[in-house]
Amino acid sequence: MNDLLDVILGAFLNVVIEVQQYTFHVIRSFANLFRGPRYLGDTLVQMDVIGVGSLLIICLTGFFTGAVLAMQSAKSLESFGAVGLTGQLVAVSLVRELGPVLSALMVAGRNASGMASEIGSMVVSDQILAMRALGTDPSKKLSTPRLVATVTMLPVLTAIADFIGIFGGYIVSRFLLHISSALYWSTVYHNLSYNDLLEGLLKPFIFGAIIATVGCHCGFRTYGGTQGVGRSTTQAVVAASILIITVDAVITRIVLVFLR
Amino acid sequence: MSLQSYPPMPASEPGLRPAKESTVAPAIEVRKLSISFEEHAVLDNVSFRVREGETKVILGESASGKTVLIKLISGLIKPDSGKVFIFGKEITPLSEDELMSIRKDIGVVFQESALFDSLSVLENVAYRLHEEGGHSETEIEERVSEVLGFVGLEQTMNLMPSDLSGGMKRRVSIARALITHPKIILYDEPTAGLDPLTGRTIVELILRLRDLEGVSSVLVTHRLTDAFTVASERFQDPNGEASRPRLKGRSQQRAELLTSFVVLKNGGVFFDGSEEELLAAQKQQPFIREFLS
Repeated sequence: MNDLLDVILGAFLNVVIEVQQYTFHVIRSFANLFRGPRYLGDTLVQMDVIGVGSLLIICLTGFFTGAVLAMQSAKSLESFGAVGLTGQLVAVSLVRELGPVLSALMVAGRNASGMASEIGSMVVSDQILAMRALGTDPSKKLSTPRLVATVTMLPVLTAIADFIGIFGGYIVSRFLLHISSALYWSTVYHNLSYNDLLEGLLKPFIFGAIIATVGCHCGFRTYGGTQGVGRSTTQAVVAASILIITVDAVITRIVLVFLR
Repeated sequence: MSLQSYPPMPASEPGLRPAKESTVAPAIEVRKLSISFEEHAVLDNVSFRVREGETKVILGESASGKTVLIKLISGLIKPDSGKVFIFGKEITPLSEDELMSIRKDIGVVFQESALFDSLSVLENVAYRLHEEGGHSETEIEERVSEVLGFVGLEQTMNLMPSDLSGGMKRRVSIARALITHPKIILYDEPTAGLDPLTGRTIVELILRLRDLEGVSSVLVTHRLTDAFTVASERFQDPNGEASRPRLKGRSQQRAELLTSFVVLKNGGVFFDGSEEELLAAQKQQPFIREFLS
């Protein structure tokens, strides 16, 4: 019985320590924005890796999500004789919810894992120690550029995913459901409010911060050689994905209470 | 290997400048240093000094805390108790930001080289200069070329670390540590895993830095041949492939001022003294006799 209690207490303590270390990492990464040196070149490289590099998967995800959403919603709307509102449903669902969340999950899968494995490999091969020995703060050099790049690129990628998704919905609506182009685009245009756009573009900023901080934090706490790098990579994707979905629920509730 | 534009050597006779005595603060002072990992004491009450221009050879069995000592001296980890002084300044209470400026005077050569594998040799060696800023690309390339020439690898500038052999990686690592002319270099097993010839090249670089540049250093090794080569030879002919003979008589005594030994046992300092004292101690101390045999 005592052994079980010890195990539970030990696990709880580990979670508390992990949360504490992650919080310190987040604070340090943001605080670095106000302290030199600033690594503009590294930030631009990361913007290219995260932004341009994720463009294809974001476009594909957006397009097929929009297309499937149009097919599924048309089937439900048909029973109310409201197939013409497909554009509205696709647009609002994508902009408020699916665009931000799916883009974030895609970028988390691609980049949080990349950050964790890259930094993790540097940790296990003493490159992080060497960096510190050479007078560089790894947090400033590695974390903050990735944070800035993800926070700036994810909203852009989300906006692109939203547009491509609505376009995917249009292709399905026009050629499978035979809804006129004018009807589709007018329902899209007239039913998207500024609050929808605000919610849809607020989320990616927060999701971007989650992806970068979780990815880098998991990388920095890597131990145990190449196996440890693999473990950190998996943990980064899982933790970032769960945090994104959890925070999405919280933001959605806040927005529904305060902006509706 | 030319050193023409490398920082000027002190005017005195190269290779025979005795380490400066206690009128100035020692380059490194470790005072009652202790550290434990998961309740296992790795270092316990370790104290020693490294005078300016001196090479301190740290010997000890595997897992005796030699690498931990290097990390403590460079401020990469904090001790549980005790103090580390670099040129008289205590570094143990300093924050990471404050340590950054101290580390500019310290070069570290890691056991596995720790080169940045996504950067070329040029970018690796120039890393500190890029971080400092204010250097033109031409100036950086010149300095990298010069320091790579010093370690005999000027032709590797555009290669990636994965293209280099183990010995070449160590030499690039030394070049990277040298680029800003640090006053202290910490070598962590620089010859481990290398063949004797390549190991000899690295040892000659260590001699060269000690004897020509007056760099203070800590050399962690468990290769006794390397340790005694550093203690008993000096870099003699900067222009050629001349031999580095074992020194005798007065020269030997003077060379001993440049190198001393610390032997670690069970986390503590078991021996601290010159080569001659170490060889004498083995007669009385079974551990040293066993260790040196």
